[in-house]
Amino acid sequence: MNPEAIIEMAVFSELRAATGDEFLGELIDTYCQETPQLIGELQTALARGDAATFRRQAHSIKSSSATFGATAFAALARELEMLGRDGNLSQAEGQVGQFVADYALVERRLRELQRAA
Amino acid sequence: VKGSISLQNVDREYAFTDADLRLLTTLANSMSVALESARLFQETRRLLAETEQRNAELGTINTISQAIAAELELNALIALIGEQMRRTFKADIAYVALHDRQTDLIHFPYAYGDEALTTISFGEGLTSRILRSGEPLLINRDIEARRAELGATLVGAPARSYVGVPIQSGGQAIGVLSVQSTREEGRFGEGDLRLLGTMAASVGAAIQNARLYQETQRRAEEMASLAEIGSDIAATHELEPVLERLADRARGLLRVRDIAFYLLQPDGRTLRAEVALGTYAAEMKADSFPIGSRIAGHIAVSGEAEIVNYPERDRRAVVIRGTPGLDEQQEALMAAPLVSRGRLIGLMMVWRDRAQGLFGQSELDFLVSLARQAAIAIESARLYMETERRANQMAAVAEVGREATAQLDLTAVLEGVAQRVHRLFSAQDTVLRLAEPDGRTYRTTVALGKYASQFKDDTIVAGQGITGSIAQSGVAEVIADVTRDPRGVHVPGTPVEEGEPDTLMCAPLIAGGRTIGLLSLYRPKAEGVFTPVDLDFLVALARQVATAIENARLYAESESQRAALRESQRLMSDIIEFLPDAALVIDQEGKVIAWNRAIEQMTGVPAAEMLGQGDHAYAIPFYGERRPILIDLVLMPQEEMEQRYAQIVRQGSTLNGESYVSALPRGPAYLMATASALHDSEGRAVGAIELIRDITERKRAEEELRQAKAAADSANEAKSAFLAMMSHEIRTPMNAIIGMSGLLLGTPLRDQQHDFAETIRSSGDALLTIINDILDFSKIEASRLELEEQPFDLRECIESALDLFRLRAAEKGLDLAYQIEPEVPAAIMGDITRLRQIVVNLLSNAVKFTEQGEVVVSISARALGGGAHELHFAVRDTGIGIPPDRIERLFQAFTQGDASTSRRYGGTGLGLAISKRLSELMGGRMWAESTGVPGQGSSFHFTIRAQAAAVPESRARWSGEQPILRGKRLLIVDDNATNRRILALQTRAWGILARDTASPHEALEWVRRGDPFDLAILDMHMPEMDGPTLATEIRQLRPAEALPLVLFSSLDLSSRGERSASDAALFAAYLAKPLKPSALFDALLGLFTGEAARTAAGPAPAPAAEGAAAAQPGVLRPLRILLAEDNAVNQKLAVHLLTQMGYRPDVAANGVEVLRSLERQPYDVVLMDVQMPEMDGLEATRQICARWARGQRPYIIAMTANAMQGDRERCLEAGMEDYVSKPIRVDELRNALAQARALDQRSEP
Repeated sequence: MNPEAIIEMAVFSELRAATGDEFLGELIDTYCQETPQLIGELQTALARGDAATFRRQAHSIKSSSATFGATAFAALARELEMLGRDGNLSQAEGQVGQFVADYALVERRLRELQRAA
Repeated sequence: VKGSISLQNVDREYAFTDADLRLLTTLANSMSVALESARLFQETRRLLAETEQRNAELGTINTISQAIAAELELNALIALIGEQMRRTFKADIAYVALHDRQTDLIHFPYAYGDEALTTISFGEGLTSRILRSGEPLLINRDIEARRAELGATLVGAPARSYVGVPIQSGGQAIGVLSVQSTREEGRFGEGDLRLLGTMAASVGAAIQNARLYQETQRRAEEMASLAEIGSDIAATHELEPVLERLADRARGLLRVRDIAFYLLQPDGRTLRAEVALGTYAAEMKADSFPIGSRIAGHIAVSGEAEIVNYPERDRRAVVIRGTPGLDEQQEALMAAPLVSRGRLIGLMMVWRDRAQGLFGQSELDFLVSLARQAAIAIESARLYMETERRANQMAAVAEVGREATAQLDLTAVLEGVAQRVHRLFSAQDTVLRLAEPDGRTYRTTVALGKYASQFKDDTIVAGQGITGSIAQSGVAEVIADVTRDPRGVHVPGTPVEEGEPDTLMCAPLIAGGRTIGLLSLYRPKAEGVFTPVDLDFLVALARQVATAIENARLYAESESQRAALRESQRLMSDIIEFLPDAALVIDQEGKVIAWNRAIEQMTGVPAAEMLGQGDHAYAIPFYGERRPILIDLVLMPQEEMEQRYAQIVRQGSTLNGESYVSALPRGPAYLMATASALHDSEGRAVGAIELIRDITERKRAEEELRQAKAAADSANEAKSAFLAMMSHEIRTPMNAIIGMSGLLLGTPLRDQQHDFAETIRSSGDALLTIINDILDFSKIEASRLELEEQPFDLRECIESALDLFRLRAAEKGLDLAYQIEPEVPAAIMGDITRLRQIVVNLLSNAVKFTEQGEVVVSISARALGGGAHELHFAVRDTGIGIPPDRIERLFQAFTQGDASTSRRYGGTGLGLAISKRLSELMGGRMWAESTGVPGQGSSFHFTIRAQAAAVPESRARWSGEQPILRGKRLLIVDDNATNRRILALQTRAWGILARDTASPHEALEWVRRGDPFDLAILDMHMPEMDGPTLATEIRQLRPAEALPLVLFSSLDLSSRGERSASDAALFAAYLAKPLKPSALFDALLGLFTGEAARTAAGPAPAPAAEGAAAAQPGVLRPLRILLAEDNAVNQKLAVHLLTQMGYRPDVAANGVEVLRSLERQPYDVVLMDVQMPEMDGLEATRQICARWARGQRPYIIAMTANAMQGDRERCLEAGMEDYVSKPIRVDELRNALAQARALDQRSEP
């Protein structure tokens, strides 16, 4: 994936404009702490077959990721959210691996942007 | 001397005598005597012996031949031959064996020396061996070995020498002659064999002769017997002559005086003399008596022939009438019963004068044998006559039947029948009558014979006369004498008049249980009465005739039916021929019976080639092969069809189908076919019809349409996708521009910087408006715009729209007003946002194109029934106007009044197009009116249809009469008639007595002369005198306590900075234009309840219209905000943004925490994330609404990242009031909070 495409810069810039670099840095820290936790809970929910929790965690990840302009990753989260809503966890299983991998890219890119600021 | 000379006789034993031996000894002793002499002697001996044997053989054969000649009895002959054999061969064992081919057993009619020999099975012993081979067999030694060698079993006593020869007859071995010796071997020689063979030949010939003789004898007897009887019978067909001849011959043979044949009568009890010859023949002929009486009767019963030589001594005897008495007669008699097949059929009796001799046993025996012959003859004759009669009848009936079926012309049939019957019964007259249509009258149809002309036109009626009664009874009758029958009616001109009685035989013709005719035969009685047999026969004929008549009638009926059918078929085929669709019809065998012009054209096959073709030939023009097509399916049983052809559509008895065919001359084609079975009147399928239509063109058009639609759909999809993307792509940077400039304005700036930022900000707004227009328009065009259906306050909608232009109108010095007619419902169901959008658009144009004067919005309504209303909105201005010829173009997209207009005033030109479409979506229309004269302005109108709704509770407080305000007297002074009217209308609705004038001087005059007023509202700008000046003048006439004054101004004077100190002293309250009833109500209420109304009466600053408002939150009471958000990032960001805006939000992580926080302290606003753990936002909202009443509960704003259809509806349904999307944007958040504030202010007076 093109690193530039991981984070949609228009969105990220808007966020930066609204928050300022300092707060944005804090926000990225928060995101990078919270999201792995959410992914862990999402995987646990998947293992238990708890579609409601799975859906909520996916939703939450989607929401905060979209804030930073991680549009593609948020879209993937949205797909998981939909599968969770429809109770279709078996199909979700195949996508969670990709999801975790994509998160790594998002985090790396956010850290780069954080340093650049 | 042994071994030196040995003479042996091979033919027989004891051939040599002692003398021979001596002679031989002498010869041997005198060997010197010439060998020649000895040889000579030997030769002489041999010749001598041979001669002897020949003589013996000849003797034997001679004996046998003589025996055969003398004795014809076969068994005797065999016995003779056997004895001869035994003697001739001096055998221990001799036998004659005969093979019975039928039983395959071997019998021994002669057997000597072996008692056991009676019968053996063919296959056993040497006998069978000879029978099988047909060759003689001679065994002289080692018989056991030979037997084994031949595979023959041992039968009877074992022999040591054996000779056996076959008896030949007709080329077959039919038996064996055999002689045997049990004592010595070598007993038989060739000569013996020859002799036995000769004997066997004789036996064979004799057997054959005997058999032939017996056969011939038997045949001759039979033939004689048959010839005799046969010739008698053949000579006549009647019994009597046969018996007469028999009687005649018997009388001669037995030398008797009288002979009589008594025959048993049909009653089975009476014997009657049918034939009698002799002296008393005439007397006997009439004689009859019952079985069991008289001598004859007894003999008949006993069944035993008997001689009665002295009848006068027999108690059974009776004198036959007319004959002399028994005593004087001196006769002897004998009688024998006639018995056939064990049944008594009569009696044969003979008489003789005793002088001629008594009867003896041998004569009785002869009588019995004659009786036997006679019985056979009688039976044969009877049988013959019966057969003959039957044959004649059958022939006649068959002939009638044949004629009847061969000819369908009824008259011809009847004519033929009558003639046949006439001949057959030798009738004098034959009359055939048929029933008239009334079924009771019978008219002569055929009359033959002597009186034919008299019968010709005769009719009879059922029940009248003999024939009439037969017609009624339906039973055939023979009338022996018509003159004696009481029913008789005389047919004029018939023989009765001549005294010649007729005999009549009449049979009804019966069909279907009705007498349809009568067949009558007349004959002079003298020629013989018709017999019961005749009647039977006539009835059989009558049956045939009735059938023939019925046939003829049915034929005639079916002929006329066929004619009608042919006519309707011709009509049908004409119809089929001219059907516009290709049509074919097949019969139930699948043969083509119709092939119309259209199908000829379609297939290129002329009807002449196709008609009569079967075996699916009609499929060839379509498919190039014979195969079932739709028409065949209708004749198929339904279950089978459903199983095999699921795609065929069945509608009732009709099948519809489509098919692609490749073999038509015009090339491949799509055909649509309809087929249906054809049924006869009884519902049986008798064929089927199929109509075929070429739908290739239609298919092609459909296909093109489909492709075009697919292309259009795909283009539309692409467009929609593009728009969605554009929406996102453009709004994102726009939001950044607007948001950033807004934030920038909130920071300390130099004046010039503030101007720049303001410019950026307003340009951004303008650009966003344009973009929103374009997106809206696209949505409408793509039919993707969905209207909400929620109750809302119409007045509030208009007011909020006017709010947006208040500032700009004030800047241009324009009056802005609105007016709602009383019949307009306070609240309606609909989409408030979109309605407001229309109004805003029209107001925007009106304000934009009006340099001076006023802009007035008015609403009227027309009830449509059932709560529905048509609302009519009008926005009227006093601007530059529009030339009439350009009005139509106004509503086209991307068009303004003219090109110069757009240059001068800017804008996309989409606004009106969008508004027009929106009004249409709301069930109405839009139009404009203008004279084109500048200053006279223009008016834009639109209508919508909507259901009236209940007024939301909070808005209802100022609607209707108000007790506090009722009866108050109000003075209104405004040069603007619209404003005056609005004020008057509104205040009168509350029960106020309003009085208005355009002239400040008039107002002053009213006050001066002391007219009573409780309150005065003065317009700010009036040409004669402005508001404050008028107020000053009034104050001089009345004090503030007596007449409070309210200033009505386009400027928002509620903000303190705008008011001058003097004004503040003059006016008790200020009202802003456009007038909001809520504000007016609040102001009036405040004044009349004595509350200080100075601040409350002025409308709150509208943050949405004033970008800088958010930058001065401190001016306002800060909203207490609770942020419900579980996601740490979003939570952090929202808190940051709210803090930047000057708020201090509290935070809750889920719905449960929200409820807990609300219990602890009140909040003005809850920013509610929808998706949260524990309890989501929707549920939390529902619980809040359930616990706190409106006014007491916080204003709930949804925050959701769900961009899905229906999410917003769900939030609003749950009780949330507004909605912001995530990611959170500063402007959106600010607008939502401003909305919350406005409500907050209003609900807290």
